[in-house]
Amino acid sequence: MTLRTAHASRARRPAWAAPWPDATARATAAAAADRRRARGVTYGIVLALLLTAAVQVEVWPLTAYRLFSAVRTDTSTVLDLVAETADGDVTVLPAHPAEPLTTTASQYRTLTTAPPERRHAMVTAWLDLAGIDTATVSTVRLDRTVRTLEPGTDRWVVRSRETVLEVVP
Amino acid sequence: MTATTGPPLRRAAHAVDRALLAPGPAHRLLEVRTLLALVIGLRLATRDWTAIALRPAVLTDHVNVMGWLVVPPPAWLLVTVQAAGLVGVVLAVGRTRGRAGLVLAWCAYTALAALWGSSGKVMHYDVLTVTVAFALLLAADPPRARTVEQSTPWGWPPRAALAALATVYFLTGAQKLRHSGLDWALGDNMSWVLRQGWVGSPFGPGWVQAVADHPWLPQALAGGALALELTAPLWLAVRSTRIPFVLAVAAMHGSIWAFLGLDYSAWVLTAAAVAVPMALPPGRRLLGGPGSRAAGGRTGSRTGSRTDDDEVRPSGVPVSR
Repeated sequence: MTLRTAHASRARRPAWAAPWPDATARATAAAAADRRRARGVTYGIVLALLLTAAVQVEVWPLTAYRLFSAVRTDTSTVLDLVAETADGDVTVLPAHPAEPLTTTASQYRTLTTAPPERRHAMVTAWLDLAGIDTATVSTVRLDRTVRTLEPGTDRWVVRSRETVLEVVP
Repeated sequence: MTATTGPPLRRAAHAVDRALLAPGPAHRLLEVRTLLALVIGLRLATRDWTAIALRPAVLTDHVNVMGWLVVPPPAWLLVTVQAAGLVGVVLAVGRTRGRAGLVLAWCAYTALAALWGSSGKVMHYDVLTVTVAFALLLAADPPRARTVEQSTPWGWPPRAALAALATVYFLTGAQKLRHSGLDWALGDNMSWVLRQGWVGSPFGPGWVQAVADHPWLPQALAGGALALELTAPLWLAVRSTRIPFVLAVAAMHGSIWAFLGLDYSAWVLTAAAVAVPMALPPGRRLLGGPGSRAAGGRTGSRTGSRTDDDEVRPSGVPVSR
């Protein structure tokens, strides 16, 4: 018998021995703690998900789970950032196709409420991402366009366009 | 507490509570944890997270769990977090430090996914994996030795993951009803979704156009998706319908990818990681080998109470799912 197994056999209580005096109490407490943890985690997650969806909060990873939840029609309204240059109007699009850059376009709608300094910084950042030299740009417009998709084609027909905001970079 | 008496709602709540707390086999927890870790590992390994560093600070949205980070993280830090997450995946899959490994992998994945989505648009591709895996972070670590014992600490975590999965799918359907009503499925909605999104289809616009131009087909797709999402808790509550549910969500998300090019593969993999092992009888292991029943093993919780694998309690709800 090695030293290790000898220690182990001495430490292990024989099967016929009575349980430790507090063994039952400890086991009961451990089982109660297991049940509390199970309920807390499971019901906590479910309640958090339901509450977040009910109040429409978006604090990722808590989200309202609005996936395609709005009805689409043939008409859609989009916001475009357009740079006015000497060569004409250029739609501002990130040159790098990575998702974290392209999806920043979702923040166009925040431009109207942003303070002037932040608005200027945002527009300049978008021009940089699009690879447009700010020195060549006289004005950047935020256009709201209402357009209709013609059935049977992939052609959008512009119904109306209005300039929501102008920023000088 | 008498579970068999009282109003039906209370009886149902008691039945759910009993099912949650019923003892479960350690190998099921290990299987679900391992598969979820692999999904996290796949997501961590197959994306260039350094793109986050290219986003200017002024265009970074801070309404998420990483909103406290005001300075854009440099590329080297993003790669370090990615590597740390992959080490966590290895630990979780290797079961040397299973729970600690999953915690490390989950933290790294959640942080990177939150930063990835900090561009002003709510991104849902990774949120299901993050939410479902969270249920396992506080689970006990089963012993490394192969055990045949069933215990409450090993039974509830996979069921908690199943509950999170069911709730998320239900909410995606419920929000469609809430904001659009039945018109979401019965009107022209899906036809216009297809027409507006076909530029993303990996198979080109022609066939998407053909589907969109047959109104009954988009309506069938939308109706099927809505019905599947709203009934997810029912599919996942019964062991025999869990694998059909996984196949159904694979078909749904697969069609979204084929039509629109949107990659919800993480949702399919997460659903499979939880629902497939949980579709097996408690005594059967996912990759074969002797389970608790095959080994003639004993069952019971830490307190010594015993239950059979498929025992049906007086309420009629199988306790081991």
